[in-house]
Amino acid sequence: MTLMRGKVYVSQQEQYIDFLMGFGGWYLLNGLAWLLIGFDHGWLEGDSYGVPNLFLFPLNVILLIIFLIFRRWIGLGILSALALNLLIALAMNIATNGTCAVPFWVSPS
Amino acid sequence: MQPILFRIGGVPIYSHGFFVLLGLTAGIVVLILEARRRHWPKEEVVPITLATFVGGMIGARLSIVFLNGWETAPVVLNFYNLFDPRYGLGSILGAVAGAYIGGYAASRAIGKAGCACDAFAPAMALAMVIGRFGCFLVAEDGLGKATDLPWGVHVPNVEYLVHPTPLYDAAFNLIWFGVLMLLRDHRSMQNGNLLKFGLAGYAFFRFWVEFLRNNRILALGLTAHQFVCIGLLLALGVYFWRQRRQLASSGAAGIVG
Repeated sequence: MTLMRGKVYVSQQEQYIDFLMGFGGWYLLNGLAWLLIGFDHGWLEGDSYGVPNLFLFPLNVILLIIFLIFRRWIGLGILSALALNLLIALAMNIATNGTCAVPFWVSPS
Repeated sequence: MQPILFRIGGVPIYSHGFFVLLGLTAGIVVLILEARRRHWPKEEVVPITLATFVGGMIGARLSIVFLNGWETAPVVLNFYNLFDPRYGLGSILGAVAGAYIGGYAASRAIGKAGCACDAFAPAMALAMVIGRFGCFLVAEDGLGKATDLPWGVHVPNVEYLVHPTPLYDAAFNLIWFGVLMLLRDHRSMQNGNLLKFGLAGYAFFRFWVEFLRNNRILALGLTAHQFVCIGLLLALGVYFWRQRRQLASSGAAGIVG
């Protein structure tokens, strides 16, 4: 099954613009949301998260899928921003020792 | 155990993060080489690889809610924690599932016909070989259950020897990497079958090694990871059975025709 293809790009410039919109837009909107609702959360204080934060995860994923289908290059921009952020986190992880189970592992009694 | 591998200018370089990154890099190199060998155009490789990576990272984290319990949800479901390097990546089983879903969704979204995902199968196995050394060196999850076998190892704060389960994982994946490389050109292992076969192999191995690990029992004496493995094996078993039946019926039709 192949999903319906979205916008047909006629020039490379259009692709670049859409890519930058997705890439920059992701940082801009998530940065704003972080300032508004996520900023005050410290290390391992996830239990104090607000309700809006709960929606950010699915919202990001849903928007990504929608854009990948209908405006592929915006979707690619979002995907690249997400991947870059995750790569930075992975690289920083070398110096922070956040092993797979931190802080999720529950010792079996 | 050696949680700190070395220091650069006083900054500790931790084993876990180092080997995860090294494993990921090795996996990407294998993927690129495989993609080239399979003449997979970069217009498809790049978005599918990106989606696989992002899907894998998200899947690894989200699966923690199922595998480790609902009490982890407040941390796991906080979107910003996904990018916090002080938090762990999550579960490899969730990563595999997320990567598969991400890659599949991206390939459908860009309108790719057919499946080039077989290039991921050996890449994933090799990445796990290397990554597991990091888990071993930090004695993740206490490594494993008690053993008196000669290769049992000491972990901090435990007086008995334990199974070095990450090394079992690494050893299996090294063998599995070789098997997948040998099978990669087999005609029945194309169009996604190599990846599915690779996943089935790991799920089978993981089901058994879970008995030696310290993960939480969910029900019937089995861990959540084992239930995931059973589900995955059943789904893949049905897939291969249906495919075999289709091939048999089309072969029979060919003979009759």
